[in-house]
Amino acid sequence: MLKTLKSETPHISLIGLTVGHMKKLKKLFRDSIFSERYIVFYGYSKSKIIEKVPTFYIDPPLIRGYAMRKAMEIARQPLVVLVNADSRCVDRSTIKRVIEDIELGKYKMFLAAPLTSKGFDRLYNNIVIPILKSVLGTQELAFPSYSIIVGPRKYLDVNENTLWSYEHLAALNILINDKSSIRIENNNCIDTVPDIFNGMEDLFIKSLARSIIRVSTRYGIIEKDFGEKLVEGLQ
Amino acid sequence: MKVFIAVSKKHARPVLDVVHTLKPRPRVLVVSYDEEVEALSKHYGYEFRYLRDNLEQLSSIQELQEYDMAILAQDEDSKNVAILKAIKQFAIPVIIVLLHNTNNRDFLANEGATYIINVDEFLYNNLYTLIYPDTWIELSPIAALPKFRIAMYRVLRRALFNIPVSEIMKVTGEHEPGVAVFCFSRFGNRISNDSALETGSYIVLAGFEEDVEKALKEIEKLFRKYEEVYARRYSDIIRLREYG
Repeated sequence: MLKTLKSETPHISLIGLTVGHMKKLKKLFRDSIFSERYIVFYGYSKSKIIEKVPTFYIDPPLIRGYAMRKAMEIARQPLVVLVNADSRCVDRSTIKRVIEDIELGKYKMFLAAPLTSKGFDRLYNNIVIPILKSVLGTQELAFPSYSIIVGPRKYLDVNENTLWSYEHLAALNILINDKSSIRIENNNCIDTVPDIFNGMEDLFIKSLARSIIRVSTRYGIIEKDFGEKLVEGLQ
Repeated sequence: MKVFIAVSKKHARPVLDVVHTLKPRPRVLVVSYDEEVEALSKHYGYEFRYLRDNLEQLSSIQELQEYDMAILAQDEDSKNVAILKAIKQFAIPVIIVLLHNTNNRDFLANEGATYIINVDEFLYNNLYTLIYPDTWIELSPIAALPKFRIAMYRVLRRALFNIPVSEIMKVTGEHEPGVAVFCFSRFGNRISNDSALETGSYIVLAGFEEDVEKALKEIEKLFRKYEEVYARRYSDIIRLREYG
């Protein structure tokens, strides 16, 4: 499948999110199966990042969820590969396999290589997991964020804001309709959230919880009053 | 002339106001994510299309091939980039884009922006001028002339030296005749050559960036010369008092 893709017009966007600790993803960014490649910088730096790949700077900085949403705006191809460019877990072979699987219709969205920290995990397990259980009856999204996200742009382009875990909102959109259409690989390799985000865990996890409640209310999965009570409980 | 405008409600008024002054009146197509822009477009008699998070509709407007100019003035760089990409295929000869983060300049230029108006720089520089006295602030006020530079200096502590305006004019005139030099009072009035710089006065240099840079260095030399004279005089006074 990939061989034919190479000879035909490629239609995949590769976007690397970074706060400035770019790891060795050069091979991935040189791969010809991607028709457009961008680095999206969401860190806080006064100096420019020097990269061969075009780099887009996000304002306001330090908001991963917002950066991902803006990255979706920039990407024009129907299939999008969104990776944490600071990751040590992103590997080229997984991405190629997943692209092939999605092309073959095996699943619609893929998440792998959790991006987390102790603080994120603790709050996520206490706040978000119970909400996901009660809303979807699922625990599939076991981590607060992931370093590899692959899926069609139409599913990843979500009209909802959250400060950190944008992929959860995209996954939620798909999970609500079809639980089998998402593939999550949790345990191969785990990335640590950069130190720059220390102390922001509570802000980000509560923002995710509020966004999940909003989306669930919108889809009629939970009653509006119940949703409002849940949000009040988060204050 | 045909002008395509993709504008947010925040920038709609100035952009449409300026385009409306064109003579003969251009044919204008306005698109926006904000429905509030429609009223102003109708006021000017321009065609309006509402963008509903779907840029494919832009790619299908085939008549854009005949347009002479595009102005992209969204609130965020990402939206400007997305629209820029959607209209790229129509090869509009002049594309003017508003830039909100200076670091994204290259990104926009690579995507095909002809002129970039840097809103970010304007805000930064004006804030710097107001917050930092006794500091040179440089700006490029004209997007079409990126090498044209203005340097501004607000005098505060250095007003102490009573430097005559004529000296400023003399050093810049001698070394960099290609640079225009103006001195303004704190109220924005021109200061005559026989007056001295006072607290709150502004020195403004305008010209090619290299020339402005050199002129600025000459004025700095003059400031340092006065600083030395002042320091020497002050130390002499102390010495004389001690002996006297």
